[in-house]
Amino acid sequence: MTGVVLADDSVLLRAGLERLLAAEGFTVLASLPDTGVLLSTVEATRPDIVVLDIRMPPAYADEGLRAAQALRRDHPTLAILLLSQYVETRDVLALLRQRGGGIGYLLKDRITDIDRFLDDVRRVAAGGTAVDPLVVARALDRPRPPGHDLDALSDREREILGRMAAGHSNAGIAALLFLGERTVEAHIRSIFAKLGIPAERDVNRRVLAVLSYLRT
Amino acid sequence: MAIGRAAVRSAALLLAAAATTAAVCVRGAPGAADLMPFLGVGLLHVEVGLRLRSRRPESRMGLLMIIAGGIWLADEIGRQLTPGRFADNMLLSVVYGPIMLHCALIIPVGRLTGTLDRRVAWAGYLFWPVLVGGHRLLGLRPAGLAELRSAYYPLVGAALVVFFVVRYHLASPLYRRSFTPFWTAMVANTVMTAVAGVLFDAEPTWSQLALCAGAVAVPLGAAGSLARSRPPGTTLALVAELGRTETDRAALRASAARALSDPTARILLPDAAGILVDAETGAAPAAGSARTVLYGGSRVVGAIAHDPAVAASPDVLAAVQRMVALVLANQLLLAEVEAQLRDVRDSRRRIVEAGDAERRRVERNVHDGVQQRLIAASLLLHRGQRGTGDPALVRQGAAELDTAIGELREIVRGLNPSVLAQHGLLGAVESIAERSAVAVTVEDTLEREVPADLAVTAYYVTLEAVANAEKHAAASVISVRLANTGSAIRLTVRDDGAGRAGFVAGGGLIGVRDRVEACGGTLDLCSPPGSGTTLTAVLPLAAA
Repeated sequence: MTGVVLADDSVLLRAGLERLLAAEGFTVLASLPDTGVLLSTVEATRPDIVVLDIRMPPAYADEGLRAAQALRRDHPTLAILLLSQYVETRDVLALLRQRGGGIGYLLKDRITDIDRFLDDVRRVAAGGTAVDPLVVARALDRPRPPGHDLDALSDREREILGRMAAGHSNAGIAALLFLGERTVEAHIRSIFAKLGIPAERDVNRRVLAVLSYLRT
Repeated sequence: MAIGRAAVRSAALLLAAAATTAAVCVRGAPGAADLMPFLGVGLLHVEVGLRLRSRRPESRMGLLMIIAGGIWLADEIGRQLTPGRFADNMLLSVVYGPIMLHCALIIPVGRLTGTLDRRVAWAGYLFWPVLVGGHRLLGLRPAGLAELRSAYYPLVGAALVVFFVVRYHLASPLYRRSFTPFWTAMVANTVMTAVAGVLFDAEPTWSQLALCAGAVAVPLGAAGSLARSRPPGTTLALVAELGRTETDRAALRASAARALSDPTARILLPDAAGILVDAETGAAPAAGSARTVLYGGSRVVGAIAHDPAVAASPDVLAAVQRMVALVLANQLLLAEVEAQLRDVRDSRRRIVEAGDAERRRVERNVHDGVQQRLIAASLLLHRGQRGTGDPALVRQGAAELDTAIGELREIVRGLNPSVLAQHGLLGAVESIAERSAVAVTVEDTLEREVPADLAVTAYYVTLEAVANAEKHAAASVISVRLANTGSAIRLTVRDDGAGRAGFVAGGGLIGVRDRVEACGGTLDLCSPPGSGTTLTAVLPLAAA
């Protein structure tokens, strides 16, 4: 049983998420309209994962983000999934730099793709990483001077790089692309060699390394 | 000149008394009686000179008249004591004549001006000493003053007449006006001297009276000329008049002309190239006119072109200069303030219009996009619910909903850049860079946090510049720099595109400039064809 604490100021969204997660076998331990009692609630209920909105009362700025950082400090192994109206690469990097348990950062509308969303929640709850595809796409597609190292990648390698940046494990990538795990490993070695990124075994560290590389 | 009026007057009377005493001693009482008219003429010169000096201290006329009177009296003493040496009006010819020439030359300004006038005056003083001395030294004949005088007088007289007639002819109306009394007196003096010469043998008494009558005209003529060289009207009247003429340049010119008694006076104002031209006609000022520059603070606000003779009254000229300068500086300031006000009104109107246009755009985007998709989704889902539960209908409905959510996100994002609140200016600029289709480099050397309103403005400047570089300039790289400069922040966005960007009415750059100016900042655009575009915004921190 995976214990979940929700924090979102939208009653409808909260209710929808509660119902969805409960139906999928999660235990919703608490559902909060803001971050006020979030820390004490987590202290009391000991969830596996906290799902929270970035913009919440009172200032509707980055309350969720700051609450996430506080949670990370007090409960390093607790998995956190942040939902946001907009996605900024800067936020993902800041979250990934704080080492700890699973971390996720998704656009709010990703909830509507239920299967994928549940997969992301499970991955994060299990200590993995979920980065919103928009962040990955932006990082991959940003304009670069001609002759950049990225040009040396094959289409397949580029696709795999994207999956890595999104936080998928080697097994996950293999399953998504219908490839053997060995093949994926070989591709990843080749990618790291071409881009000169030190090979990271830890999936979360690998996301940080890949995104940092793509950002420069 | 610290010698008081009383002292000069006493000295003159003392000279007169000495001459009378000398006459009584040498020739007896009847001889002294003959002397009286001559002494009267000398004393009149001194008295007029004293009055002129106290009324018009800046003019040399008074001093010259006092000296001339002294010469006249000294001549009488000399004639009584040593008639031989003072025969033939020796002193009057050698010294008094040149002094009169000097007097004629200083009208109307009150002192010698210009090289020619100075040379003529010196030539007058040196003429007889050089001529007589030269003749004596070289042993030429004739050597006597009387003979030399009869030999040279016609020539010198003719030369002087030509000189003064030409001068009068070339002179301005103001000069002629002040010159006439003295000129008339000199002519009268010459005529009476000639009459005296004719009467000398037959009627000696009448001859002397005629000579004196002619000489009396001289100081009176000098006084008349000096009076006429002073423009009428008081400074107070001028101040009152100029105070009334607020904006009309013709009226301002008329007032200045009246105050200076110079109908040719014109007001000059700088044209677009900064050259001083006639404020009413735009023409260059007349040749030969003098120019008095008008300052508003240290800035040249204009000039008055006037007759050079106006310099005769430096106090009046200075007063007119200050008053006209004040009026012009005032007008200039007023015009600048009005222009600024106009700019602010225009910009305020554009900001309101931009707000309206933005609201219409949002309304259209919501109405045409999101609303239509929601209707479509609703329709698809209702059909799916009602009929046989076709999964394709539900799928299509869900897809419409997803698209609507994406569109809504983009619309809302444009309305309020929440990234600014969350990550500050640098984060927001990086966010723009990340979304740009063109490579953007960001360089940030800001030393402290930027106030919220400036950050929003800087954000929109960057957004507009990057969007323009992407859409219109076909740029391949954009650089954004954020830096502190003194008490302002400087944002520079440069691209390597096609250039030719401009502040087009209704364009995005105008809207951005209005924003920048509303923060008290400036926005500069440099976009030469083919050489990229540089947009620089300077936003003062103090105004925030």
